[in-house]
Amino acid sequence: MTIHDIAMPKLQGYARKTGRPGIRNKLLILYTVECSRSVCHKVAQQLAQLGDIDCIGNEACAANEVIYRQLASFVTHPNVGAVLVIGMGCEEADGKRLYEIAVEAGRYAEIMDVQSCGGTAKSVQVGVALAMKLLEKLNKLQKTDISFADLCFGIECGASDYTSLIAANPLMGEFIDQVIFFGGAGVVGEITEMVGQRDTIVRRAADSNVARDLAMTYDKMINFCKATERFSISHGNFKGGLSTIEEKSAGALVKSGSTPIQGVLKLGQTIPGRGMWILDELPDFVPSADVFRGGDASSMMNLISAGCQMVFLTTGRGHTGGTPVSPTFKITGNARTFVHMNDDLDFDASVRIGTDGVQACELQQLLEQVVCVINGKETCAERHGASFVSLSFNNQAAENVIDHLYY
Amino acid sequence: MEQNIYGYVIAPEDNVAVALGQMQQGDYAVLCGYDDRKLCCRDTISEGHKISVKQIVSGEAIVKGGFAIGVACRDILPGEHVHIHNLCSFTDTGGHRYDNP
Repeated sequence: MTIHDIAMPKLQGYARKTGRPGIRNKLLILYTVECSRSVCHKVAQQLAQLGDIDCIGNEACAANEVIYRQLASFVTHPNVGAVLVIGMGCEEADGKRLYEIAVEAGRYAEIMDVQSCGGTAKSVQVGVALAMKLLEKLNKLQKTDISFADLCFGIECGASDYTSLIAANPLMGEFIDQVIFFGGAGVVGEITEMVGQRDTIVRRAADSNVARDLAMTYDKMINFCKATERFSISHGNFKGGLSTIEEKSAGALVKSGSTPIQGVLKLGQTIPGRGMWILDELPDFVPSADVFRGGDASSMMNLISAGCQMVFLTTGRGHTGGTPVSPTFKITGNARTFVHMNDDLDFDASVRIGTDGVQACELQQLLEQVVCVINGKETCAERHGASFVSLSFNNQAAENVIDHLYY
Repeated sequence: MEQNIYGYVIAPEDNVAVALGQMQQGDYAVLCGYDDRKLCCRDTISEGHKISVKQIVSGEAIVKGGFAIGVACRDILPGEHVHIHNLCSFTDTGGHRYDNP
């Protein structure tokens, strides 16, 4: 269902010199390796009152084209206006390359490393001084009018229960259809939760090239799951009444709405245009479970590196997850969970349960709340602070990342 | 006055309903969504679990929300609990490695 006679809501955000506008105006403090992470957090803590600051970074002392592309999309993310790169000094990932990408994209940027500064205390001092300089410029930026056509939304589900398929995920699907009707874009990852839905997904392809890519991506996923004996279904799911991975996948798929799928994105590739997209997060090489982290934390970070200015997390059992850079908005279809975990959940989608159709007023209410968040209202996750921060190493083929362009 | 227990039929083609509350053996569940019948529960069924609303033969697909979510691995009568003991994945053949819930 799409509401056609609805007035386009008035939205405000921050225009950037390149790329889409942001709905937040962040200083991003980026660590190029886990070793410099604590300095980043100390700098951010000291300046928390002076601006909107997030820390993210590279977990491993390793770098490949995939991780560079992901980190690059963070330093040029629409919600990021300024970047402070803090390295250790000896790590494999080249911070200077990321600093230069940020400058080229018109972001205010600075770079430093802990070994040159002379340890933690001195680095925090230097970092605070550089960050203050950046915040001064950043906080001068004024908001301008933006529209849904400027926005990309990521959708994830986690800690699902039986209400996910019948309430929160269908509402999410209707929401993203509405966003796409307004000219915007959406993306879902978690391709390991498409098991059994090959035909349904391939049928949704916008054209024959996309159909081929969706089929290939699906087959890669099935081979991965079979080879690693790893299907995304757990004891908790069985206890809650889910019996098969196909049942769980049906719920996961519903959240992507009903519009044609425009293409398959690889890690670090940003959403090129309007419509619904699928993000392939699985490794391209020999199937092996140890190189793939999976889970909500890694998946939501991947959605943000695809350029999403806001991400949704639907849950049944309840979720505390929250992302840096882009606000996480959490929805549950379980009325008891909504009350029980009230400080973590933004929207109760239980009203449709037991009815034979969609609830137009519910979609309207969700849109109104999302518009408030776009315009600056904090989500529950933003109030608690980000709980996911690191990007994990993945080994997709770099040439696929470059070649998979649909525009 | 006894309170109704509801089984939610999500889509018209479904052969299972979702228990919206705990159902005891012998209870009559009111089907809602696309069906308004009353159905006698043959098993005790926890909230969120599935109850068969039709006669299902072994080998038939189990349909929930319009999606085929697996295959019946034995005959199932209306009112039975439908879960990992009588419903198998098309794909994940290692499902038996999990403990019974």
